Formats: sequence, C-alpha cells, structure tokens
Amino acid sequence: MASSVDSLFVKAQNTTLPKSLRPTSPPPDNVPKHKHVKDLKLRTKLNRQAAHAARSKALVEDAELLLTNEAGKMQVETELERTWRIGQDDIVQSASQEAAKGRRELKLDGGPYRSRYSRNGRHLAIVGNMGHVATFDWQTGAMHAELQLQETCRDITFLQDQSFFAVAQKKYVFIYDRDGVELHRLKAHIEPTRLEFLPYHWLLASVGNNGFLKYQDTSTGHIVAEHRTKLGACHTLAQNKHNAVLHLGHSNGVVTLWTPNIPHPAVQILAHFGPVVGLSVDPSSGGRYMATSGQDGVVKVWDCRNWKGTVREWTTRGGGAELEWSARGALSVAVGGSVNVYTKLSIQTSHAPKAPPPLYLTHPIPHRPLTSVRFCPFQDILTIGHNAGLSSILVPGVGEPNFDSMEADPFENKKARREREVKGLLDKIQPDMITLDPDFVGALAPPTKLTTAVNDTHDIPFARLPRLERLRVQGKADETELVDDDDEDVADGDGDKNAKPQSRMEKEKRKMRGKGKSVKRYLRKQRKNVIDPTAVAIRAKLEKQREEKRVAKAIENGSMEARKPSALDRFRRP
Amino acid sequence: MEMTNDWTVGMMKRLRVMMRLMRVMRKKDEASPEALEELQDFLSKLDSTDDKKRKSNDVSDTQSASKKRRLMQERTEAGDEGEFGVSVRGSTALKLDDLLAPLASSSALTTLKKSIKVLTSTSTKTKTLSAPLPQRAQERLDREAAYEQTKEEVDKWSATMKRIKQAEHLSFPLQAQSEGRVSNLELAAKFKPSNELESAVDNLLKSAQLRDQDIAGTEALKMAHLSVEEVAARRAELRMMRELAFRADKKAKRIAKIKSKAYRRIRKKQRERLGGEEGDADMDVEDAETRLKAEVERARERATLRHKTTGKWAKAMQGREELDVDQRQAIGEMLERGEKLRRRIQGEMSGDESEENESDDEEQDVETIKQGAFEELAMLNASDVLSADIKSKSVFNMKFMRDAAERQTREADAAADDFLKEMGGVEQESDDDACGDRPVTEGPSVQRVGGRVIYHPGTIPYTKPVDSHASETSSVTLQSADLVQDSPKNLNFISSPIISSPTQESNPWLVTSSSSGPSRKRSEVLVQKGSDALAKSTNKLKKRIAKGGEEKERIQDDAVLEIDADNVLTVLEPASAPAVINTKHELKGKRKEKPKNDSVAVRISPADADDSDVHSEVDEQERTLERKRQRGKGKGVTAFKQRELVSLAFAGDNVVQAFEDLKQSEIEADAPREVDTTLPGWGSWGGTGTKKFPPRPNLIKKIAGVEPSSRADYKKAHVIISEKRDKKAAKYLVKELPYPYTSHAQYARSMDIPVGAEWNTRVGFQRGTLPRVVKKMGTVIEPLVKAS
Repeated sequence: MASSVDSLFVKAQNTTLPKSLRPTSPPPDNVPKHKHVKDLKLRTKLNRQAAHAARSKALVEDAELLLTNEAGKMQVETELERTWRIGQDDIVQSASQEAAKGRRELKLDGGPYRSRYSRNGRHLAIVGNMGHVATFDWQTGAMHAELQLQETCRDITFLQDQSFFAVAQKKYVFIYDRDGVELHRLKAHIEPTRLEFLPYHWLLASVGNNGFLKYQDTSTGHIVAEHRTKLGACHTLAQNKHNAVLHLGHSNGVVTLWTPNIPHPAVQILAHFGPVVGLSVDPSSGGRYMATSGQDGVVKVWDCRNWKGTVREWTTRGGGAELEWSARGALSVAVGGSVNVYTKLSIQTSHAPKAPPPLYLTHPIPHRPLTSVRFCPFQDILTIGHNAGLSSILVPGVGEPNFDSMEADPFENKKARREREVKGLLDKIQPDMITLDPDFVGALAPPTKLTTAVNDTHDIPFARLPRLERLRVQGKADETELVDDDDEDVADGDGDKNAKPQSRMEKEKRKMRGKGKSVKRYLRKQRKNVIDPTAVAIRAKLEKQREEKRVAKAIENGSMEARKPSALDRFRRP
Repeated sequence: MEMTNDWTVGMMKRLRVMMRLMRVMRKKDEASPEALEELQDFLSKLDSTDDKKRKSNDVSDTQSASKKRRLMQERTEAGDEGEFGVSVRGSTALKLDDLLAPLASSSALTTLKKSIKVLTSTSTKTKTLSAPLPQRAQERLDREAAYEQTKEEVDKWSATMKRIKQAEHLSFPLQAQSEGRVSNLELAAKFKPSNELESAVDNLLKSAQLRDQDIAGTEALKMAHLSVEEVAARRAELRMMRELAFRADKKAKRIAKIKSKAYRRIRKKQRERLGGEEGDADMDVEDAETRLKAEVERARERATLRHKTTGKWAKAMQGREELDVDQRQAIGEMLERGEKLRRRIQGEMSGDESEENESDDEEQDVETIKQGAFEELAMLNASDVLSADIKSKSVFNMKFMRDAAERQTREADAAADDFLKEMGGVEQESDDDACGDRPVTEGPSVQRVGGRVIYHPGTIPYTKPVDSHASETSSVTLQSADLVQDSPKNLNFISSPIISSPTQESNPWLVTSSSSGPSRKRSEVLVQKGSDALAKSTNKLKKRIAKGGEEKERIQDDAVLEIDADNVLTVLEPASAPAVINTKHELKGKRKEKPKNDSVAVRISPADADDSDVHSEVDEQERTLERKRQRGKGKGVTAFKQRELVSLAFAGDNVVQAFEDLKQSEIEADAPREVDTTLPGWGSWGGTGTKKFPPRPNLIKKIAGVEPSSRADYKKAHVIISEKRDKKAAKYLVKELPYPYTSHAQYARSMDIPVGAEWNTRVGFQRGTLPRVVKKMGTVIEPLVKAS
C-alpha cells in the first residue's frame, strides 16, 4: 500500500526554498525548539522564526569579517609608563602622514568658537561668537562658505548633509545653503542658544534664552512641537543618537529629557547642584550612558536605562566642563585649560567612589574658555573650540574605523549625496516615533498602570478581556517564558501583587461559553487528586530554572560569589 | 375514408401473404416434400387471387365515389381464417429475425445485430426483475459508492497536499516544466518506424548495419585492437581535416570579399565621373548643399574645442604632474584631433584614413584599387601555399578527399581568375579614361579643400609641408608654449585666519599671542552677559533665602561669588598662566614655581591645591599615582576636603528641596484619588443641630491613577520619570496579542528580528522577506499532474 502511495506521489519540487536562499549549514545549537507548544502550526512557525533569527544573526556576525579596518590605540609598554604623558608632538611624529594631517590649529579672531562635523566626518562647520561662520571640507581644504554675520552667533549645525547648515544667531535661527546663501529665517526660534539636528526625523531642534524647546521639520517646514521647559534660559542641549531624545541641561542643575510627543519632560534628573554646563550621550553603547557636568565642577556618568544613579562621578577643577563622547565610547572633558580624554573601559569599570577614571590623554590649550569639543566621525581627531580659534588634536583609537557607506560615506560623490538625500526623505520617520524606547513600534502595548481605589475590583466580563487575558483564564497562554525587559518584570510583579488568586469557581464562571460542560467538570475533579509523574517533573524543572535564574541574578548583582568549578564536581549528581 | 380502409385491408392482406411466404421459405430448408407442395399451392393461389383483388380494387376505387359507403366488419383475428388460412403452430411464431432476414447482407444490419446481441441473450434467460429500491435509498447507496470512489481518488493526493500545506515556501508552477526544445538526439533515440517507407529504410539500415548503435559497435570493434597512439593519430587526422575544410571555406569568403570591395570602389568612381560629366547643371544646388553641410561640420568641430589646448579641461590637465593611463590617452586624442583639423584646413589627408576619406581622395583611382586587390589576392595565394604543404599524407591521400579538395581550390581559383580577368578588362578602360579626363584648370578658381575654401589664381596650390604650420595652429604637443606648468594653488582654505603648523609652535603656552588683548575684552563682555543671567539667579536665590536663615545666605553668596570669580579667572588665565607642563620631568619642579593667584577662587580651592587649574587633571593623576605608591598612609583626605567645600558652597541652592517638592507634586497628581461629589444641601437636612453624616459611597467618584509604589522612579530620589501615557506614540503599539501567539514573549521575539536590509546581510534580508507563495507573472499555472 505504501509503495503504491509513493508511486502516486506527485513531485511538487518547488515547495522548497530557492537554491540561493537555502541554508548551507545546520542551524545553530541554541535555537529553542518550543516543544511545550502543543499547536503544531504555531510550533512550526515559532521554530522557523527562531531558526531564521539565529541564522541571520550568524550571517551578520560573519559579515563583520568585512570590517577590516582597525582602530588605533596607545599602549604602555611598562607599568611606569602612562599614555597621558605622551604629548601631541610625539603622537604626530609616530602617526602616519595622512593621519597627522588631522593635527592643526586654526587661529581665528572673533572667538570663542564652536564647531560641528557633518555625519560623514568630511565637512566642518565653525562659528565664532562674533559672527564668523565658515563651512569647509577639512580634508581637501575646499571652502564651501564663509560669512561674517556681524552679530552674536551661538551655535551651528549641518542639516541632512553639508549642503545646508543652520546657525543660531542673535534673534533667530537662519538656514544657509552650502554656498552661504541665506535660505530661511526661522522666526519661531527666538534667541536660540543651542541647535541639534535629528537626521532620521529631519527635525531641527533649538532651545533658547526663553526656555522653549522647538522642533521644526526641515523637509516640510512645519513646527512639529514647541515645549515650554519652565526652567529658564537653557544653554545645554544634546541628542541621544540612539532614540533621538533631546537632553537639556538647566541652570538649576536638572537635566530633562524631551520627545516631541509629550509637552512635559519624559525624565527629569537632578544631576548637579549648580547649573548644568556639559551634556553628552554615548553613541557607542546604544545611548546607555549619559555624561553631565555642572558648574560645581563635577562630571557624572549616568546609566540611562533605569536611572539608578551615577555609574561614575568625579570632580574636576576649573568649573564647568564641555563633554563629548566619541563613536567608540571615549569621553572627552574640556575643562579649565586642558582637554582630557578617558577611554570607554576606564569609565565603565567599577571604581572607588568619586575617584576620577584613569586618564587616557590630555592636551593643554592656553586659550580659554574652551567652548566646544567635537570628535570627528571616522577619524581619530578631536576638535576643540576656544577663544582663539580651533585646535584639532589626534586621539588614537577614538574614531569608528569602519564606515557604513549606506549610512555615512566620507568618500561619497555628488550623485551619491543626492541619492542619499532622496532616500533619506523617503525613509523619514515620523516625529511621533521618538520615545525613550526606540524599539516600541509594533510591540504589544504594556499593561496600564492605572488603578482606581485601593480595593478596586475590575469586573470585566470574559468576552471583553484582551486576548492574552482570555488565554490565561483558559489556561492556554504560554507562561514558560517572560519577556526579558526590566519594565515588564516590574509590571508583572505588580500584576501578581494586585491580582488575587482566582478561585476555581470564578475561573469556571469565566470559561468560554460552551466549554464548561458538566462531564468535563466532573473529569477535572477526578483529575485533581491524581499526582502525575510528568506534572511533578515539570514542577521540579520549573523550580530548578527559577533557582538558576535567581543565582545568576545574584551573581550579576555581586551579592553572591560565582561557584568555582572544583575537581569534585565529577562526583556530583546531575 | 373508404378508400383508405380498402387500401389498408389490401396492404394487410399482402403483408399476410408475404409472411406466409417467408414462413414457407423457411420451411424450405427442412426440405420436406410436403412443404414444397404447399408452396406450390400457395403460389398458384396467390397469383389468381392477387390479380383479381387488384382488379376489383381498382374497380371499386373508381366506383366508390358513386357508391354508398359500405360498412366493414371489424376483425379480431390476425388473418383470414378459412380453409386456405394458415394453421398457426406453436413453434412457428413470427420473430424479428424473420423480418430482418432479407436484409442480412447489408452491413448496417450486422452491426446493429452485434450491438443488440447482449440484449437478446439476456432476454432469453427470461428472469423477472425485482422491484427497484425506493428512490431515497437508492440515491443514498449511489452517494455512498460515489463517495468511496472519490475518496479513494482524492486520498492519492493527501500526501502531496499535506506537503504543500506545510511547505515554508511555494513557487508556482509547483512542478518543473519539461524542457521545451527537443534535441535531435532525443528524437533519434525515440524514433520508431511508423509507415512503410520508414520501416523499409530502417530495415535497409539494419541490414547494412548503419544504425547508430551498430556504428558505435563497429567502431568499438575496430578501436579495440588499436593502440593509444593510433587512436590519437586518428583523432589528429580528423582534426586536420576539419581544419582544412574550414580554411578553404575562409579563403573562398575572403576572395569574394576582395572582389566585391574592389568592384564597389570602381563602380563608385565611375558613377562619380559620370555624375561629374552629366550633372553640371545641378552642380550649383548640390555644391551649395554640401558646402553648407561642411560649414556646419566645421563649426561643430570648432565648437567642441577638443582639438585645442585652450579648453578648460586641457588646462586642467596641464597642471597635473602624473597622469594615469586614461588621461594620457585623452590628451593624446586631443592632440591628434588638433593635428587632424590642421591638416584638413590645409587640405591634405593622412594616408591612414579610413574608407570614407579615401573615397574623396582625388589621387587614388581605379588602378590603385585594383592593384590593392591583386596584392591581397597574391598574399592570399602565398599563404595558401604554406597551408598546402601541410596536407601531405593521411586521409588526404584518399581519392575522394583529394578530389574534394581539388574541386574546392579549383572553384576558389576560378573565382579569383574571373575576378582578375574582369579587373584586367576594366583596368585598361579606366586607364584611358584617366588619361583623357585629367582636367587642367586655368584661370582663377575656387577650390574646396577640406574644411576651408581657398581662392587662388590660376594654378592648383600645392600643399605646404606639415611642419611649417605647426606653430600656426593652436594644437601642438604637450611641451608647447601654452602648456604652462604652474605649481598647484595654495590650498589655504580660510583667508583671514593664519594656519600655523603645530610643529612650528612647539609650546603654545610660551608664546604670547597678540590676540590675547582683544580676546580679553571680548570675554569681558561675555562675562557681563553671563553675569547678567547669574544676577537673575542670585535674585531668585535671595528670595528663597528670605525664608531660610542668614547663615545659609552667606554660604550662598560665597557660591555665587565663586562662579563669578571662576569666570573671570578663566578669562584672565591665558595671560597669567606662565608655563605649561609638557613633559614629566618638568612637572614636579614647575608646580612649586607657580605663583599663587590670590583671587576669590583661592578661597574655595583646598589649601594645598595650586591656583592654576590648567593642569589640574594631570596633577590629579600624578597624585593618584603617588597615592597608589604610598598606599595605606591615608592621603584621601584632601579630595574629601574639596568635596566638602564644594558642597558647602552650593548647599544653599535649595535645588534638592525644590526637586523633591516637584516630585511629590507629580506623584500626587498621578496617584489615584477619590472625589466627593456630594452637593451640600441636596439629599440631607441642613441647619443647626443636624448630624454630620459621612459622605455616601455612591457619591464618591474614584479617579484612576498610578500607584506611587508602581512608579518607575519609586525610591529614586534624584529622578522623576513621567508616567503619563504617550498618546501619539500609542498608535504604533499593538493592543491585543496577535492571533497565533500565545504569549507576550513569543510575539516579542518575532518582532525582535530586524527585517530591513540595513541590519541584515543580503541573504538574510532576502530570506526574511521571501513571500510564501511566489509565482511568475504571465505564466499559466497548470494543475498538478500525477507522476506516472
């Protein structure tokens, strides 16, 4: 019989994947099998998803092989040597000729100066306090525009690329094109002090002396949001490149985080006792760390994920420090008459309380005040704006060595620039999508935290419950795994606390219509007292998993020592 | 009516007679004498009665019109019963066969009989049929049977359908289509003789053992006793044969080409000559036209400027020192162009110009063309001789091969000879023509040479040598005058600022910059601006302090002063800062030397610290190193002191208190609360002596909120995290768990995988976005077919 079926079997060959997409290797080992899911269709789907995720991850990891460029660094040979003792002259001498070009001094009148690099690191825009504005390709030395605006200019930023730039002038923000022709006067931005451009949303944000934060869409020209900070004039603005949230530093020492959606700050942190002077968010760690500095001379590094406190803080002398994180997580602190650079590792490792992290590099600059520090993208260059112009110094190992030409190409030509502009417009993200968690799009809405009174009982009929709740009531929900999200954990914990354990009666009351058959109920009752070996095993397994998780967490917290493997382990029972 | 009745009666009679006759005939087989007699009787009777009847009938027919109608007796029996009547016996009943017997020879009947045979056979059994089932029952049974059948049929597909349902990907058509083209070999392999001719040919081939498989067999047989070398030699021979055939082919083609080319050229010349003679009348029009065309051409040539070195591009090229291959080529091209133009201006053409240039060349005439053609032919022959040597032995010695080759060469030679002959004939003619027609111009004439019109008296001008004109034209070699090798421009990109290389200025601290003066001024302005803001803040602070004690006020003043002083300090610093510590050797000594700066900053800085905070960080680092070396001696006091001082300086800011208040108010605003909505005087008694009742529960309105303990900033004093719902972002969230998933984690994991090409490799992206069903547009999707 079987053979006859086989012979009749229709050869529908094209039910497999195309040859080019077929996996060449067996799937990775750690792919979950979802054996506990009873529904075959769902199980297959989940398994396929998991396999695909693992595969594509492996492919991406493989593709990292193509990132061939390595970051430079300075290393000490003996214990007595210190990297910060090496001056710029030594570095320039030992650097290659091309790299050494990055070391330069621009002596300019009309300072102090601020600067800004374009996203591909090729173009530099500088602005002096007295109104000297210039943009140029710093590598070839090709000047794009040079303006003497004859009024106070406080900040400058490129828009989507080097073809437009915005200057925060005495009264308004002005937009100029590449050749320095004034295109727009943004009258809505009054007395701007700082500018930021959000490249994926095409938003130009400004904050001014009147304490308003304004977002303007540079593709449509609309003002997207105007937020009143109610905290007076603001002189510090930084963007988190990971989630496009803007960080403002205020004169009362508070740092506020803003999105265009909500008219009040998403987060407020009391960071310093004096006015906040410097602010920067680490782009290397997905916006995890924020550094602030206050007029009180303290530099603090915060963990932005849960705001549990500072990761590191130390005191500098010379008042407020200008801060900037590099693409690879080095922090530069310009304070007093020198610029200090700390590496990522030294900032993130645990430390003695309030001790400064080990210094990586320092450079003295005699022209005070130091008003801006900017790392050049894809280069080991730090540009410091000061009273007498700008100085660029070499800081080995701070720049991202590999660039993504789809994202920011230092060598792009005119055509590529145009194409990127059009593509950027097509890929523009709505300003609504700016939130603290950038991965929220398409996620399941978190359960609301709103509760009414203390002894409140929600009596929602079963039919009106959300699907997940219904599944839970029916016992069909898959409870084996929880989402590894801090917020979720908290929410779940609360849910457990608030929700009373439902009695069987209640549960049965909420059964789907037609499911509570008397026979079934009877059978269930019969089953109640049966101690099933599989059930026992599952319970034991769950208990074991929970215990393992707890231990792992404890080890991570540092409250418990990790068990060291011993020779006697082989005699342990599994 | 009567008539018809009569007629029917007659017919019936006749029929009856016939039947009887047939019966008799049948009986005849038995050949009994009785029967014969009977027959004779019958026949004799038949004749008389029949004639009579017919007559009487005729008469009656004629008479019937006049006669009254006659009643006829109804008859029940089949025939006349009487003495002459046929006695009906049991076995001789009339059958269909009897009726059909005369038609036995016709083919239609035989086929009919065949088809009926089945019926007749069953009918012989003479079984009675049972009564049919009731309709419903019958239909049910039918359905059941049909279902069984269909199920069986469909079940054959179930495995396939299961596979299709579970497949991750389907690309239609599901079954690969058979190859559209059928090769000759395939056809030959499948060939089977179908008609006579084919089978005859096949038989012949078979007998001659010339079919493919036979040939292969014989070859194998023959090869079997050959050595490897022999096989190789044989193969080489074959190759040579092929090669030679190919060469012969090529040669023939070449000859044809030479012939046609020469012929064409000569024809052209002739036509031109004839046209020149005939078309003098419309010369003006044509000439004007061509001239106009040439002018346009020339203008275009000049417009491109690519023949000169004055163009923008050419100039750009001059500056370059090292040129890559492309650029060098481009320059060469440019120069060549210029040269060509110059020549054209002078009216002389280069020898290596292509056909179109040759065509308007006056000097080259028919003779040269022919000469060229002959030369080509000669060369061809020469090469042929070489190739002829090669064929010496082997297969080519076989007669048929030699014949074939000879034939081929003969053909080619004949073609060449023909051509030669033809050319020879023309040659003489053209010679005559050329001699006779050469024009001798006299008097002033206008001549067009190349792009330029030259007016000259009398004689035809002779073109000057090329070299003498070299300087006149702009196009020259790279070394010529207008290619100036000027050095690349100075690349200073900012005009006003001076860019000094850092190497020149080894120690920026030691250099007294000229800009320090004005900068100081400017920064003073800055400080004033800054202090303005600070003054505001001090005002605010003073307001706050009014509540607090005087002690605090003093400290606050200190703090404010400190900020102020610090600002001033930073400005003054560059001038006052005397030295810099670049190297570690100098470091320790210098620290002592630094003069003390007695400004306000001194007050807040710790006693042991230096005033200059230029290199505070370096100092700090040095100190930490020092501390590490002398670990255990407890030197961390200084840092603590400083911190203490700073906190003292900023203590009165009240920022902490203000922040706490703000947080408290935020928490309270968000918390759930109850509002008493009782209206006083409604539903209760008022006035003195009435009891105060607690508010009724149905009038207490509960407003939902966030519990303080469930806030994200719970127990984090320094932070306020907004718990308000982000309505605008909520539209991007999924409200319900989507269908197939049974837990949040499953769904979250499915959404975790990035889809875009930016986050994936090409394969990963394509795999992730591959649709389940793919079909080619425009193709007909055939239903699945069972494989045999």
